[in-house]
Amino acid sequence: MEMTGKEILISCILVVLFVIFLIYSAFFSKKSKLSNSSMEEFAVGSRSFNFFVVLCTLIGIFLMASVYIGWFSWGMFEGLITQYLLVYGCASFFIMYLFSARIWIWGKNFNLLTQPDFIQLRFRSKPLTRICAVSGILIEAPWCIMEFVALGWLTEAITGGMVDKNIGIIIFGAIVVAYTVYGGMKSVATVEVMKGILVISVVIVGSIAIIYKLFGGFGPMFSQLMEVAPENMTVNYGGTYAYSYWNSIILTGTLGCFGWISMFARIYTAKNVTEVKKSASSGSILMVIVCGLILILAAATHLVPGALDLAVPDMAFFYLCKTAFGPIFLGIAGVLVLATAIGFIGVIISSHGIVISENLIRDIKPNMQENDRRKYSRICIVVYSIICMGIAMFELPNLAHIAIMIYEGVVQIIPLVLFGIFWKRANKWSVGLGYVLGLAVALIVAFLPETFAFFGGWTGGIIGLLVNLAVNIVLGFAMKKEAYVDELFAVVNNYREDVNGNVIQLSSEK
Amino acid sequence: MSLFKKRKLFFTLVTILFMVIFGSLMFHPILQWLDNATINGAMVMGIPLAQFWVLLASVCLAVLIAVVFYVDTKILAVRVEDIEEEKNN
Repeated sequence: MEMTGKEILISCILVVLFVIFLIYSAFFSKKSKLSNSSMEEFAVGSRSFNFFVVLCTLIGIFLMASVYIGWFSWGMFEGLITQYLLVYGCASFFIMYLFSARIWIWGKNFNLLTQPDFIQLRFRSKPLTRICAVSGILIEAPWCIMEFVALGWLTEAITGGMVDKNIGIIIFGAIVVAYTVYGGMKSVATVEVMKGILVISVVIVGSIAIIYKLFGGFGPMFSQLMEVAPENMTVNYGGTYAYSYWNSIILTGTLGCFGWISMFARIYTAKNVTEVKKSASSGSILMVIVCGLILILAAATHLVPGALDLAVPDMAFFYLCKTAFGPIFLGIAGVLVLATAIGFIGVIISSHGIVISENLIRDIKPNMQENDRRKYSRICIVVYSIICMGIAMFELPNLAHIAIMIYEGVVQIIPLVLFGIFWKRANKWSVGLGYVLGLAVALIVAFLPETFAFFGGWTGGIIGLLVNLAVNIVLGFAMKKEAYVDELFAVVNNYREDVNGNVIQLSSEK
Repeated sequence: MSLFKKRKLFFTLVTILFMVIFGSLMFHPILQWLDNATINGAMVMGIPLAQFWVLLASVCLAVLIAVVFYVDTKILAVRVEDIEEEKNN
């Protein structure tokens, strides 16, 4: 993307100002400082966050920096198909509303910090917990890598190509690793709130302003799109995609959000069930507005002269911002993407580092003290981040398509979570075998799509999920219910909060 | 009708509504009809039909969750007396 020296200077000044503000918030603000040496504070912020903080972390699952990079360029070329993200985002918040209360209640009662902790509590199986921990990290890590890649592209965009993307990955990666190691989830959450405010203000105002500036409004924009590329306004992109593909990516996205290790970390930070529910409720509204605007803008970029001919299509968002309002808005867009990427990376490396330390290393060293647990968590965060940053420096294909493939794997953990929360008969054999077989089927179909073309466009993730569900149901009924399960479910059934989120004490319990 | 029965009924209704809205975006004949109509130039309020449908369904999902939250935590909120009554029954 061609930029003059003045334009580069303006963009860089804005990013530098943001980084200064970020460093101050993440390292020096009261909200980021750790007040004691507990692992609970480091991992989940002492379960003290209100709904807005939780919301800002949750919305990051769906609106990562890659949305402004890979998804945006995909939307520019193929239009409406990318809005599966909008649909599954809203549906996911609905599912979240129904599921997350139970996850939080067990988390609070048994001091759970990670998703594998939940699995261990529910199924009492170390091998299953380890398999889920390792596979969960391997499945979610590519998202972290994609965000590092986004940081690299951002660096090239705001410097007009003068600074190599790998340098950007190292500089910004170092900043996020530093504050994550320093303040754990508290620092991460502070940055996520900054990002949340930026996203809400810049995306909503900026998108509408761009549409009116470049196209004369939503009506004229849609009319022009229908004249130039009507297939971009169809769900199947003029017949390119099967409807079963649309179904698959929505279903795997909707269900898959609970497969992320980082999702549990986000839920555990809430101060009570009411805050979790409030964040799910507001999240869906925010999703419609913000995600809807971004993806409509992406489709509209198809009309901008020069956009389709960009040497690097992933720069389309930045190209659009510069075309609409010049270098200052390009700088603001850069800050937005930077904040989004950094916020997302912070949550992922924090939750993954803690899983490695708490659920894998602690198995070998069960007598770790609180200080050692934090020390090992910090080391794991650093090592994990370095590996992700290293991989991000290689040439990778289109980010959005990588993400969709990954969901095929993550969705396999959903029966484990679903049945674990709601079905007392679910046991370690039913969920474990279901998970392994489902994952195997998903991978086989993904690598041999021609062999399984008779499935009519349904992705391997969905087929694997069906196998997974079948195994769960059959073995759930075939095997005896575990003795401890009734007591575990009683904890959830007896938990009540009033309208302010305070726990209700029953007279029989006093 | 006890509070718990009302809650069960409410959440059943909500689940059905969710499936209807979600299903409208997944059912192939509907998607086929939307795409064909859009290619032929069908628009609603200046928005191509398929795009309008996706937006409308997403808005409906968001409104549904907001309503669920309000009813769940304010109108059909569980109180101590309700739990004690349920236990006695």
